[in-house]
Amino acid sequence: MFNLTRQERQVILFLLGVAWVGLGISYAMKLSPAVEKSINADKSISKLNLNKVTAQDFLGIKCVNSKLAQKIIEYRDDNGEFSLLEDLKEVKGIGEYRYGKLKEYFYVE
Amino acid sequence: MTRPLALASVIFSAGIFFEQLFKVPFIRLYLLAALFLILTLATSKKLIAADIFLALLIFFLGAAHLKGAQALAKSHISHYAFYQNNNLYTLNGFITNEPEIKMGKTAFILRAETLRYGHREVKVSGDTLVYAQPVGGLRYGDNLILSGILARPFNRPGSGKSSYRDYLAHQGVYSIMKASRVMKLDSRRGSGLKKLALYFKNKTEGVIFKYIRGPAAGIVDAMLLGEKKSVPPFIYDSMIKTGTVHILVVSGFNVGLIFLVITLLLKMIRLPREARIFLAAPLLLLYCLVTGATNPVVRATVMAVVYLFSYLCKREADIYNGLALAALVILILNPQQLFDIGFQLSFASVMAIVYLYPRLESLVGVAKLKIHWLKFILDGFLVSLAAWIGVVGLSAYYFKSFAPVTVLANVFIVPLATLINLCGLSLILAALISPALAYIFALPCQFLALLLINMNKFLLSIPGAYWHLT
Repeated sequence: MFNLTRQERQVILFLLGVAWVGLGISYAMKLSPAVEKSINADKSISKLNLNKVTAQDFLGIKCVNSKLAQKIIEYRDDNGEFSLLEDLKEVKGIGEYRYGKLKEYFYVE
Repeated sequence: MTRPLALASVIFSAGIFFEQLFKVPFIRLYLLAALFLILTLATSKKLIAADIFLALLIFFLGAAHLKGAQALAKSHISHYAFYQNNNLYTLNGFITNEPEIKMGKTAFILRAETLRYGHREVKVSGDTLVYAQPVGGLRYGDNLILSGILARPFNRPGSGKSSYRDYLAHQGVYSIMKASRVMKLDSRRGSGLKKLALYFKNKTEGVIFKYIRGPAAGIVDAMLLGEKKSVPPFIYDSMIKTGTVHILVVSGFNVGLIFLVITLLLKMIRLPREARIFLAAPLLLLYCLVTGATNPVVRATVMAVVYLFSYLCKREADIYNGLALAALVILILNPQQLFDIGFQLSFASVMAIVYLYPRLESLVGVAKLKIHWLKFILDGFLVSLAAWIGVVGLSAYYFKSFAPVTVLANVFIVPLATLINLCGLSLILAALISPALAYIFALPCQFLALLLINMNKFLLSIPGAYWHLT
């Protein structure tokens, strides 16, 4: 009836499928704040919680070497959990420049 | 010889490598190239001798090309830059890339034209990297007057084995200006084609960031346009660890998808085959420019164009020759790219896939499998394994990392990335029709990008997934 080739049918089905998923998500977001929160997740997904971070998590983060990672963990063990991200500047070896880089990786909760 | 370009490309690269190691003066290389040119012509009837002389000619041309590219003109801006220099310079020139904000500063490359210091004014040439206080509205092609300090980059170790200075040198940049004052004169410089490409890029980015929120927007932006500035560094580093960061860089994979979509759309409007080829090639070149013409994109675009025209000429395209031509194009434009990590990773992975995958496939006997989904997963696994074997040595050498999870990660992440790319392209098309439709198309993109981030996080948490080599 539509006189479509196989490829055209595939493209149209894909687009309709995407629209179908989009409509479903949009409806679920309206009904459930939890769905909305998880779809609009920001810092919890793109950063690490400084109060839960382990030495292993620091591996491969370019601006933190193993010594500095150890100092951050020691500071947290000695002084309790970080209440503000700015408290990182209290750790020896973290100046304004390094803090500027670290705040892209961590958040405090 | 069924693959002359492949051999020529290897010999040309060997010549570049030789020159980098032994630093032979240009004039000797030039004379040797001339000698082998004459010998090749003189022995044209003796096939073996002529082939050997031709190989030596290509070798010394490669070496001489690198030496020529490294030689800087007397008027080059870098001759006025020193390690310890606090003199104030005034520089006139135009922007040759898209300015970006890095650590609170505007950074761009300036093609230098006139330099003033003290009471002297000299004509200069070459590019310099400029850091300035954030200035709004700067664009590619803007003609500027800058005042500031001109210095040479320090040999500070960068990622892996190469230093920041080497990295800049490979881009043809040998000096840095820290500008305290920036004055825009006009916007009439630069190439019109590149301006058009940047216009499309900005419009597309506008759509992505209007309809997709949070880190998902950065992921989609990187996948479609190769723009990594909005990808959170933590996510980027996580993807380096799992060996899936190639999906955030516009690569052959993206070019292949765009090629598929373009040809499919042109087919849907019932254009004849020849017209489709003639239209697809410039559209691919435009996409190459939109994404900044990085090595993987140039490689994939050249290969796609070779494929298109071989189809037009009714000749079978040889993938090794296509790959070799792409390498030659990049190295002729800038021979220093041979030492660029991105160039090495890009060609090593594609070579490994092309060479190893068919062998692994027949070894495992995938073709004999009757279950389609199992065949699909196994195929994905073998492609991923072949690519990993190709880059594992380079990755350990440059990034000091060894990630066995890469093979598994790519089996899941690459199909997901394909879906995100297709959804992203659908979003751009939907935004052209209606904002309400775009919103509906953006949600699956956002959902899939978040799924990708979480999947990557999970894969990284598998014990032994990633080893940091010390």
